[in-house]
Amino acid sequence: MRFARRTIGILLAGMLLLTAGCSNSATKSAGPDVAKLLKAPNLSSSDGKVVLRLWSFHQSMEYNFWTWLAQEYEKEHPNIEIRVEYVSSDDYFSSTRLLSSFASGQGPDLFFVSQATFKRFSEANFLYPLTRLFTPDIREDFLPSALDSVTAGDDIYAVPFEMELLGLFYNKQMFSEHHLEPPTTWEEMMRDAQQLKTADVSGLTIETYDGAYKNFSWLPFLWQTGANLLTDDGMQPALSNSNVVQMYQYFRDMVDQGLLNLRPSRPATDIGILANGETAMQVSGTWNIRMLETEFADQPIGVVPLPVPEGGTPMTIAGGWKMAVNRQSAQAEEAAKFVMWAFAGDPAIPLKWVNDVKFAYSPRKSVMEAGMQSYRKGLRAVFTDRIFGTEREEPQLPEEMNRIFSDSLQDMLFGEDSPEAIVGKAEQEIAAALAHS
Amino acid sequence: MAIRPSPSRLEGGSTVAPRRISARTRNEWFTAYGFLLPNIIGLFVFVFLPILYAFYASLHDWNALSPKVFAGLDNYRKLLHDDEWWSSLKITLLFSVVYVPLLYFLSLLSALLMNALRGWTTGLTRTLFLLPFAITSVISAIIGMFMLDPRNGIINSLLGLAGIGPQQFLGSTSQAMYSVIGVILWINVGYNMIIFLSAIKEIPRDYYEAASMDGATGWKSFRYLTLPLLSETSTFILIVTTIGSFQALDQILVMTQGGPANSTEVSVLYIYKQGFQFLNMGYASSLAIALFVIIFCLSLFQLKLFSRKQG
Repeated sequence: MRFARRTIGILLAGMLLLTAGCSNSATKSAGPDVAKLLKAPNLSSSDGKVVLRLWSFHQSMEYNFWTWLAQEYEKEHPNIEIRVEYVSSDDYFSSTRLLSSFASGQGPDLFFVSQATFKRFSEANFLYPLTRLFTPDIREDFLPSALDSVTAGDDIYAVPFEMELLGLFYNKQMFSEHHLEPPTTWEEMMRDAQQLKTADVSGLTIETYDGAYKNFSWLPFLWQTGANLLTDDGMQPALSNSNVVQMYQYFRDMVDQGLLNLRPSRPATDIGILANGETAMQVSGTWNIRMLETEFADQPIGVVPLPVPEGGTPMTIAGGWKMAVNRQSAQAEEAAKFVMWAFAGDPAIPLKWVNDVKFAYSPRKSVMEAGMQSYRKGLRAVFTDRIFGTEREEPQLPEEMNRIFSDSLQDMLFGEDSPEAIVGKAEQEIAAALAHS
Repeated sequence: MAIRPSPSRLEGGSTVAPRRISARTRNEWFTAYGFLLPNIIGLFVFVFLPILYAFYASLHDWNALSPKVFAGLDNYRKLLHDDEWWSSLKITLLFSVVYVPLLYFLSLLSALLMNALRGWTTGLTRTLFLLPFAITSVISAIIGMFMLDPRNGIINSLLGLAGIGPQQFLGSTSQAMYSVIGVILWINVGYNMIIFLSAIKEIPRDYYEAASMDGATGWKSFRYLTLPLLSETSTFILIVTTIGSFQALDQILVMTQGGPANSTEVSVLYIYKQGFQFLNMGYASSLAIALFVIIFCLSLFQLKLFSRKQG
């Protein structure tokens, strides 16, 4: 009992001290203000420099690029310190970490947005406008579609620095063993999948897991039918096209024949699915090229444009990350200068990103011209000569629309409803969502 | 029957001093509350305050980034007509109805078998049972996914040996929920088995000897001796697992994300999606409050049911 009393005494004394400490810091004018600390995480470093926090989800070479970039900027701007902080891609893609950090006033100064998150953050007024930093020369250098993708209302809110395209990757060895040519049409794609499918190898892998990437992967197939989710003015559903039902029917047939890889061993962004022999064909993007040139250099993998319906026009989708500045940041102006320095100034920096660190296209004409040589190496040439130019920019859709399309794909892949019913339901839901908004 | 006067009142109308609490009792209370205080503070800060805040948020239209706009009971009206919410409740109920009894019986059965084990294998077997629970639930769920992988999973390999073709498991709308239940059972049986086992060990051997002299062995001894003496443990396990089944999220999020075609989208997952994917924080809060009320009522009902049985 004596021990217990002593323990309680110590506990209470400790709590009293803590309380006293808290009340002191709250009343002392010179002490740290807790509320201020919580609301303003972007403190100057001890040596008086302005500290900018950059959140990156990248790994290995790509992460190293950001630390290199930070060092280069610090050399030119001794009053600035840039802290590159790693945040897992899940937290970026699903937005929970970014979201909670912004909601609590702890968001980074610099962060990446995709088309899926751009609309959300710009509508919530979390993006610092960069419009006045885009001089006429800079605007002229960017592709108009790339600038459109970061524009909300009359303002530009982010700097695009890469353009990723989708293509159909395939296992050359499997194709040659079966004397097959890579497909150019949907019909050929199904025929090839039928011939190449075995108990261990699926015919085709395309994203089936829920998330922004699933819609990104399937939208070009929808566009190839001549349809879209919304009309150009965004006021009406645009699914009422008999070709859309055919598209849903086509992929439902693939499912029914067991040709689709419904549960790939990893997300379909990862070319390892194809490289490890799990599938004969995989819909994926330019970001895999670097991996295929290094880690999977010995694998017989080729790439062709996405197959189209008979008589259809080639069509792919363009996406990619953009760098944005946190409007809440006390150092937003400094952060904006950094973004413009990095991706709107000297073409050598964005060129290093799209050519050396990874493979992507640049949304800037000057960078594309400077890197033209490397765009023709190996598989890059297929993207450059046959796929680049057929892209449509990933749309900024309201979350509700993304969800309706995603649900319709789930119904097609795993449900029982007929394609007509799935498309009809999606169209009704889009109309209802438009009416509600 | 005469009504007893209040102990604080004398017949003459004068009052007596309240019963004196001894210094020892006071010290014991002081000690007990002293030790409970950190937990009480923790509960208040991390449980009660968030619940109150969730209720406040549920009355607003809020996307977690922009300022809240008061919406009254709109979110609650919306949930009444939200088909996906009701569908997620049905899925949760299915999960609960299948999972809770299975977990109860498997844990009890494993505990009885474990109790019968003797020798060096006992500790090893207990460890093996507890291992899936001992590691992080997300890791266990990932291991479960590997086992259920349609191409390289061990379950399909075993089915192959029995002449059964490969199954899609988590990739099939009809099998996904049962596959998820199987993995979560595999994770949690060990923990509940340990609780049952410790309760079984508490039953004095004399009871069994007396029962055996009266001719009760085997099933009879289990039915009329073990099971009634485990009633309190059973109540605890049933209530806790029922509540847990309504709160299942992490393993399902890892294994299926609610798919395929929403076939494993339980209520908590739907709330999570509404909050963090669709940024309807106000609406998600109203769903969370609704689920809280459901779990609360269910727990009260269970408690009442079991206390009546025990009475």
